Amino acid sequence: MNRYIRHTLSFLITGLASTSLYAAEDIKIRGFFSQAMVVSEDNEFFGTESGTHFDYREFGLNASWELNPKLRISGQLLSRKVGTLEDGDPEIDFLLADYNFYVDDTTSAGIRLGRVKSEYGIYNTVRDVPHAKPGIFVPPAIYFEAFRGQLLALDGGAFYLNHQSGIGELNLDVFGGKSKLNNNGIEQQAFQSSINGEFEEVEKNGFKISFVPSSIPGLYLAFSLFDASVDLESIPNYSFAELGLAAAAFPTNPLVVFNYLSSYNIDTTLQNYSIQYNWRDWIFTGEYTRLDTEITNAASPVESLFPPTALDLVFADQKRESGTYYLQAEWQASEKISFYARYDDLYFDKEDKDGTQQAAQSPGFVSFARFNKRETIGSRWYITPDFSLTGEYSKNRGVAFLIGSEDTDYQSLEKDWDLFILQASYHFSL
Amino acid sequence: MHIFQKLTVWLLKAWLLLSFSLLFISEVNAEQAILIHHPELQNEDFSKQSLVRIYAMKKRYWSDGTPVTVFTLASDNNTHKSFVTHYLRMQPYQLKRLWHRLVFSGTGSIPQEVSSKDIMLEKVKSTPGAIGYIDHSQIKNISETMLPGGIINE
Repeated sequence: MNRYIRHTLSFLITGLASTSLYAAEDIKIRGFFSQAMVVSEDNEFFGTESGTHFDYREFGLNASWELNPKLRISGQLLSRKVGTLEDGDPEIDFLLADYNFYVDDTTSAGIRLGRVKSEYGIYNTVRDVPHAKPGIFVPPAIYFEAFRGQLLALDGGAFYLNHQSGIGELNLDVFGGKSKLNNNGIEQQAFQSSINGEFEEVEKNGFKISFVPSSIPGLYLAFSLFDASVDLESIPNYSFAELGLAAAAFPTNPLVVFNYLSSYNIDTTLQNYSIQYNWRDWIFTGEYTRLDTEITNAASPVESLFPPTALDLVFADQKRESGTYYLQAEWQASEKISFYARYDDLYFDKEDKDGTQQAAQSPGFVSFARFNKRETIGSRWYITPDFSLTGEYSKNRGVAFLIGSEDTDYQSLEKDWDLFILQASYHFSL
Repeated sequence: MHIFQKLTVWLLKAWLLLSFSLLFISEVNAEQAILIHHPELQNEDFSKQSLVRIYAMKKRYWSDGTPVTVFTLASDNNTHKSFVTHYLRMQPYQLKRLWHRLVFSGTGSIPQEVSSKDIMLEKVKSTPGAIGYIDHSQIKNISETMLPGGIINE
């Protein structure tokens, strides 16, 4: 556990011990629960088999405590059962102390310390909160599940500034810290298999700046920069016999060397541009991310068994640029009903959009796992203000949004696939 | 046609049919909300844009330095619905989405919910910097110093 979290926790516990000093109404407890039915007949979605399952539920419990107008402590426990990806064990989603050290009628500035959400794009901070977004999932092209661990909260700190002037409202968030990864989505994304060693800790930092111009009511513009880097850790000591077998298998199956790595670093930089326009009952949203991935220090003891240049192609430093975007329209049709439609488009390599080059270089790689295009339509029905049903259908080409599940049999995946999800969500306060 | 035999497509059709049919069940809302504020806030800005910033918890101080205190009724209360649709020009769930964002990302706190229109009136009258709304039927119980510009401006 990071020392910031430990400090915040002890602060919180000391605080709770003296709760009697404060009125109970200063502490607010809220939460949410959601349960989905997933119908995926073509490919396994969050699971190991295609078909219908109920293996996607989320539970969040949130406490917020305002000690005084400038100091607030807030935290959230989150449990997610997501097929084979997440087991439902509760985790600390965030736990922070917010000190709003400056505030007047136009400007507010402060710091948050502890485990804080990473401000990235429009939806990253609320990706798991059912009623804080229009659909069942945040747009996967920008907030894709395999990248969840890198984008989530960080143990560290953030500085925020909000300023309102005649020309509009300006917001700035700057953050930095570390976090643990809780699934091996990165391995699946990089190697299409689970390998020896783990990507365990992400170092991340970045900022988000947003602007709401006074001259165009309803318009919101934002730019986010996010840097995440991970190193392969917990690497076992390979025996000479293992390495020999790997070397022998290499000529027919080059991917085998990825299972015997001694180092591997992935550094990812995301530049996100967001635009949202609210006109009457309509909300139009678009986001584009340029994603730069740099792979360095790839090395394996298998290399020593070959002539110096034989494995250069596999272990050379790599730079990849990719682009991803979505366009979304939401119609808030009535007090209880909203409809939405979205187009998502993701590819991992700008020079190899359909993945065929990668598949040619690495026999056994599935080319269409390197991109995903998705058309989605859906609607939400608020049966009460806090209880809703959301139904969503999507048509997909490519399976990049499926990446992350353990032991996916890539060869068995369908390139074109449909998905229907029905989700019941409930928000509560105690 | 193979595609129309798929379960996912049938579910989609059924769901959309249900959603659209619900559109035609509209509730008649007879109650009409009136914006009120603490009597000492007569020179403040109560434009639609300013109200949206106040109810989104972005405007935290009035121009004279008094902290803003925002009161609200429950989301399913008809006066609340009338206030949100007429004054803020949004659906109640859209406003709630902004509040969920603040609470569940740990970045802010949300308005204080009061349990009745009478308590709302009492709280706004007695709390410096307070803003809220009442039902049209309560108009006889307030002085014009609690109305923006001294008039009913819905």
